[in-house]
Amino acid sequence: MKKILQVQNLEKIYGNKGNLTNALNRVNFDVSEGEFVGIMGASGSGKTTLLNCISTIDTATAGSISIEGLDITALKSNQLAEFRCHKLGFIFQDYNLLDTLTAFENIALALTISGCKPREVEGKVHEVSERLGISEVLNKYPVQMSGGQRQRVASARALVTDPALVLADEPTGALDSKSARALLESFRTMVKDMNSTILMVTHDPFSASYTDRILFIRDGKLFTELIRGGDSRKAFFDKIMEVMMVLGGEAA
Amino acid sequence: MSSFSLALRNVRRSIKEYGIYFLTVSLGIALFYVFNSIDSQKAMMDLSEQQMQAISALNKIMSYLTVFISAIFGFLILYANAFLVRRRKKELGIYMTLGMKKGRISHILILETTFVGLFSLVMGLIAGIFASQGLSLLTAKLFGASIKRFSFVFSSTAAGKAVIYFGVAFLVVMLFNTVNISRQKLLNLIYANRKNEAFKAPNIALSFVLFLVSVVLVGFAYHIILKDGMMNSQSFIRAIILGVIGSFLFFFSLSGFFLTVVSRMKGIYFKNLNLFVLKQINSRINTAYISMTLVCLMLFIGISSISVGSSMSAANKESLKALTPYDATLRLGGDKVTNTNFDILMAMKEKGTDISQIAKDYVSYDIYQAPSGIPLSGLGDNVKINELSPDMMRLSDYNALMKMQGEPELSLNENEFAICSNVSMKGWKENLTRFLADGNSSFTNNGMTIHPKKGLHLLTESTDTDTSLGGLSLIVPDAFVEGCEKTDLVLSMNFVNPEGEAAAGKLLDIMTIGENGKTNSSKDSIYDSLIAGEGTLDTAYATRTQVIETTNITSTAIAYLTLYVGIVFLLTCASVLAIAQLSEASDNQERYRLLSKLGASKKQIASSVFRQIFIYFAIPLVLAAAHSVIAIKSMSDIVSAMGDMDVLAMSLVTGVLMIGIYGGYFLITYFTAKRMAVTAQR
Repeated sequence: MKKILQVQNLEKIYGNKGNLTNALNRVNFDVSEGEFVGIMGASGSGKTTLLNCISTIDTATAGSISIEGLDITALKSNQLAEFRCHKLGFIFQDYNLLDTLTAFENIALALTISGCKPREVEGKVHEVSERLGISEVLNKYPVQMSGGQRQRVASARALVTDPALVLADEPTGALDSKSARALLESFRTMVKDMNSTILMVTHDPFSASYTDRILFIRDGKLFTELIRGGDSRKAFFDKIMEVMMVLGGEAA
Repeated sequence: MSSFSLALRNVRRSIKEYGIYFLTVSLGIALFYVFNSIDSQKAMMDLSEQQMQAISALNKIMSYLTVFISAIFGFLILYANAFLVRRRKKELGIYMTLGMKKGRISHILILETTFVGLFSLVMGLIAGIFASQGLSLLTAKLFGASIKRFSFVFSSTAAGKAVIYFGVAFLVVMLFNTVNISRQKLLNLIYANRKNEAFKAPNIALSFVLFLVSVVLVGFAYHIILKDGMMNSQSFIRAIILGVIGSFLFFFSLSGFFLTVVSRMKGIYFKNLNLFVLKQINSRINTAYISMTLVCLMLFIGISSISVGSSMSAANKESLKALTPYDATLRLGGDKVTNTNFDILMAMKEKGTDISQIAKDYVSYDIYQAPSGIPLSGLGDNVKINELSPDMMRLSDYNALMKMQGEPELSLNENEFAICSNVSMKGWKENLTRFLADGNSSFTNNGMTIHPKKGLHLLTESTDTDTSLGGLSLIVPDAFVEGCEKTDLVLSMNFVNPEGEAAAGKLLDIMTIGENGKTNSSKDSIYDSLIAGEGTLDTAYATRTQVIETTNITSTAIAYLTLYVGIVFLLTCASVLAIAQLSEASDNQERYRLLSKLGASKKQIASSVFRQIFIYFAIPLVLAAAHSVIAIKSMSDIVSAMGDMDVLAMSLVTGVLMIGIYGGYFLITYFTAKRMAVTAQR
């Protein structure tokens, strides 16, 4: 399996000399192509910092992050934007769709930023929309859509550039359980049919149970790893709950 | 921390946000000072009595205008302040959660306003005092006066006025802020950032139709004004109403129209951030179109004022000379002189003044009442040429006048006449030319009928030196005036010594009677015999020096008034746009952060900011410029009646002011907005 993401000895230290906080402490892990990986942890565990470092929004203090073999910690500011639009797709908790654009335009924007040829835009948008079942809402504005539809439009936006890695930050956080389930199902479709690679941060065990593998983070360190293997989703969910009990227990 | 130091720190820290505010208020105060200090500039100039009075009168007009101008500035300061407070809502909310009382917050805001106000007042006054020295030189030049001695002039009246008017404006701002704060709820302050304007989807088809309608309306308004000019008040008002409605619809529908067109051009629409920029503008125009229209109309007034003002300011000396062919003209009318065999030259001689002592050459002639002629088409309702009171004169007198000017003489057959007029108003010449070409045009007197001389066009020489700078003469064969009523006696002359005031003075001594027939103590008056007895007497005496001086004063006054109003309007528009765009940019920070996450480069974001702000600044300007070109074209016909417009000076002054003020504000806005958009982004 091709390695998409390699994180080695990642450290992130906030603050100055007198007052240091070790947000990430020697984190190591890999993500392979076509994998759906979850990151779980309590608030303040460092999971958002990890995601920010991988998404190039924040800088690491030490260690390296390689995406498709390229060490992004060594990239310069003007290369980062280029990198983000070609290699990464983002899905946020609060959708972050532009309210002035229709669903179609929101998806198309990701393409136009990356310098896609104008005449290829429409075809690509329609293709990804069909897969995610949002063809009907393409001409609607975000305010005219339900939360679930908005998040699927955001997913389409993340996927349309065919990124190496999709980063999802609490994507189900603002959704009701039915929409959340539908979204997670479409994530599975993305992994299965389009061979996408997704890294999802969540604190919700139900969402996590849709992934292939879960990394648990506590106090900036990789606490444990849970692999689904051949388990059913229910069995995997139970395992996740067990780990969370241990995590919570030790924390308390 | 005391309120005082907190307020001082706030101002210092947000100096960049206050930048536009500082600049606008300072410029306003500087302008205010400059144009109110005209009176005190008299000190350094060598001025005639007439010019002294003119400056005082100008100063008085300025002080009335100032009330209006300060109302505009008051509005502007309130507008800018509202923007600043809105940006700081969250900060104020934090003060409140920390337990600060509303009274103390108001206190801090009042102190901040005071600091900003004092600072911009000082800066504005300093700039104004220096600029007013430059204006003094300009005034001297425009008046044709010489500078006695250069002294640094400070007008305490103007400075005092600036302090009072702007002080009041700042008091209003303080009051406004206090009321505003006391009515705010903490919840709204804390969540100020999250409140979004409800987004309405645009109605593309409607805006497409409305845009076409707006173009037709504006085009129709242009057509009316170009065809009928500004003198026809009915069509003028109609054109203005059409123009205003057209402009309104234009801004209402423009972005929708543009969007419809561009979204069909996929190659452009799906390139870079184009679709984002277009939608961004379209989403705001729904709320911004009213202010855009107002800005456009104010810009239009501003540009037209500055253009006309600057073209007036350079009153053309050459054209003035052509309009004042003799050193002086004396004109007497009324039945006291016309019903008698009074003769100016004889009367002078009787009193011991021979004309040859004063004038090296002269022509003394009579003006007669013209008989009724056929109507002149196009000059109102059937106006006949004799109703325009032309100076009907004998051919021999006309030729004597032309000879004195060194112009070729004219010959007429006994049944021919010619018309001479130096008025260059639109339609005037055309109508007279048409009248001359009409085979029916004729005058009949005493059994004699005269027709226009075949093949002779309208003559445009000036026949006398007159303050009104315009005349209409009917030149007829000598025999034709037999039996016509005499209306005026005219004496045109060139002084023995054209530069010397002595000769003119002598003549003025003779002219010792006022317009209302008031007597004078001088017994030597040639009018002694005229004063007694019944009847009317009108006198008019104009020298070339006087005419040029009056014209310069008039054009300077018009130039200053229009420049003052023009610059203030320009400044207002530029700063309103700047403030609106900066407020927009701060609202858009979240959107730009998202674009950056999606991989948009800083360059892409900066160019998107540039295009948005450029479009907002350019579109009202383009429409206003189009309006102005039409208005100036139409106005030039009126203005050129007072002397030719100086197109070079006009474009130069207008261009420099536009680029300086409007361009400057645009750049400041762009750089500030760009900084907002790309801050905190990697």
